[in-house]
Amino acid sequence: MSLIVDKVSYKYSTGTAYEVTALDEVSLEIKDGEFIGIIGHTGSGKSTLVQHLNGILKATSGTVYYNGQDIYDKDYDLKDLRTRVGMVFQYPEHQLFETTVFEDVEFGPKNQGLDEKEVAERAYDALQRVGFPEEYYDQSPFDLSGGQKRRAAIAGVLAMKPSVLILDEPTAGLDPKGRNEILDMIRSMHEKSHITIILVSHSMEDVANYVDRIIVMNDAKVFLDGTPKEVFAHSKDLEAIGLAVPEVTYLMLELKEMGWDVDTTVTTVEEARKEILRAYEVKKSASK
Amino acid sequence: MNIIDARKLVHEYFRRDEEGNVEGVSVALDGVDLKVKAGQFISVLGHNGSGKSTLAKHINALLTPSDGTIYVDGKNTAEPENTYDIRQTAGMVFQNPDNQIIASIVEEDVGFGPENMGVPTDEIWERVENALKSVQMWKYRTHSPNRLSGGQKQRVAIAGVMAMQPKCIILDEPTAMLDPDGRKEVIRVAHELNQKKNITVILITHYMEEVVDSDYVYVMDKGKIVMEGVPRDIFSRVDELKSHRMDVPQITLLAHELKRSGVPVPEGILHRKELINVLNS
Repeated sequence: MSLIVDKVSYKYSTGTAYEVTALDEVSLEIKDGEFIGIIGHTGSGKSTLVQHLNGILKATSGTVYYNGQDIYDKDYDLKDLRTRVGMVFQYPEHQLFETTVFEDVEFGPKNQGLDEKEVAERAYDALQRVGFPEEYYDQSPFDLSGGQKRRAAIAGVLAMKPSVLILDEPTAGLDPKGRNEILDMIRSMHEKSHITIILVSHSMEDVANYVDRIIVMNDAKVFLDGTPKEVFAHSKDLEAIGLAVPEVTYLMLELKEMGWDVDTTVTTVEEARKEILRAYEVKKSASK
Repeated sequence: MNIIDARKLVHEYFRRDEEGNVEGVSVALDGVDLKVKAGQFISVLGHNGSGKSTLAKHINALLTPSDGTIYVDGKNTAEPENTYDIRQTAGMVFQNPDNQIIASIVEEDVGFGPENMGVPTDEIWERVENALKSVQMWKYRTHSPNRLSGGQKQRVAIAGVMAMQPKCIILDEPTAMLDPDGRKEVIRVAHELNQKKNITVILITHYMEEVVDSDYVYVMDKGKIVMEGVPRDIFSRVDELKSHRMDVPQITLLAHELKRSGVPVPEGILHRKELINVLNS
């Protein structure tokens, strides 16, 4: 049970002077229950890549397998794939349209042809999972704050019960607290229901704190693929392609260069605190 | 003299239901005092809905006060005959670059402002050249804006404001929709304009890293100014910032946590170098 991307290339404006290769023979496997971050700067191909995972874009060459089946087979049910691999686009709140939050979330399952009771149950369940306050279920989605709108929009995709959830820049434009709330919500959703989560982001700090695996895209190819620690160990390579490792990782690298005995694979503030504290105690007792 | 002088500024608006009947009154600005000296680089921080964008719109008279007053370069925004002068003094750059670029070629877009002001043609081109060069977009002058990156578009938008030769530029969350590279470009350009051309800059943002080099920082919450001071002072109040839904840069937070754990580190560390120096001493 997994998603396999097999030598996928995607070109647009082919045959013209403006031909662009957005994906260049990309191969990777995404296993069930993984929590993945896809990083890359604008134009690296990260959004193009995820749009292949539920068949919104069709590869120019290569193919995508979902649970062992080629999604480009003539009789493959793409509509079904799209309910299994749910996609939350950038600024998903722009897609809210119903008169109440609850009806908006019901739209997806309703289109799946489920009966009224099941639709309502799904919507209720999805709103619970994103931590949306019950007293606003009957509010117009347009009267909500930015963070709440985004929760409602994510619930709309969750209500279709996808096994894979792709979120493209889910925190763009939110203030720091709102950003942490959304990321915490995604993490707890992953922990509770074990669905596969793919987070597209350009913020290294965000991703380092949450995901188990990072895929770095650059120039239409997979540049690095591994755990956050493995990926951030390549700080020089990342800089060369215009990405940065978290500030605290830089700090540890610089301290190490100055002779501090610290672990340079640190990626979060809490880890850095512990490491510096440990090294500091060693230093202090040595100087006594 | 203060180029911007807001005194007990209040902005109220009516909430309406679907039929347009007034449901109640919301207060977006609640007695804001703000003084900006010419040539300063000021930042206004606040979470979504804190009133910071409403404040920005008062600075170039897109909104006028419900109560209190605001003077821009000595002119009261409440007087309709001042509106035109005020908008020429204080130029505004918005969050979404796609909403403020109108022409199909970069240089024409930048020339749109001065053309509307009735500037003679030769001078328009001179201004366009200066403006595009100061944001490092001169080589893209004949490009179509839709082929530019977000950061580049935002710099074109800034050039468009520059070409009107304002004394003051208000940047309302100019980086919210940009990637890290684009964000850095825009902030760098804003600092350059401030230093080289002596333009007063008011940067409105919720990214803390962007305000560390400002002269002065205001933090807004619920329509009020709740904190103000130089960046070092603001960032040394970590818990207070968090209570206003703000975050501090990773390094500042780490220094704060280390201090709590008993390492003698001062509050308000802004840069990596400072922390390293402190740890090594």
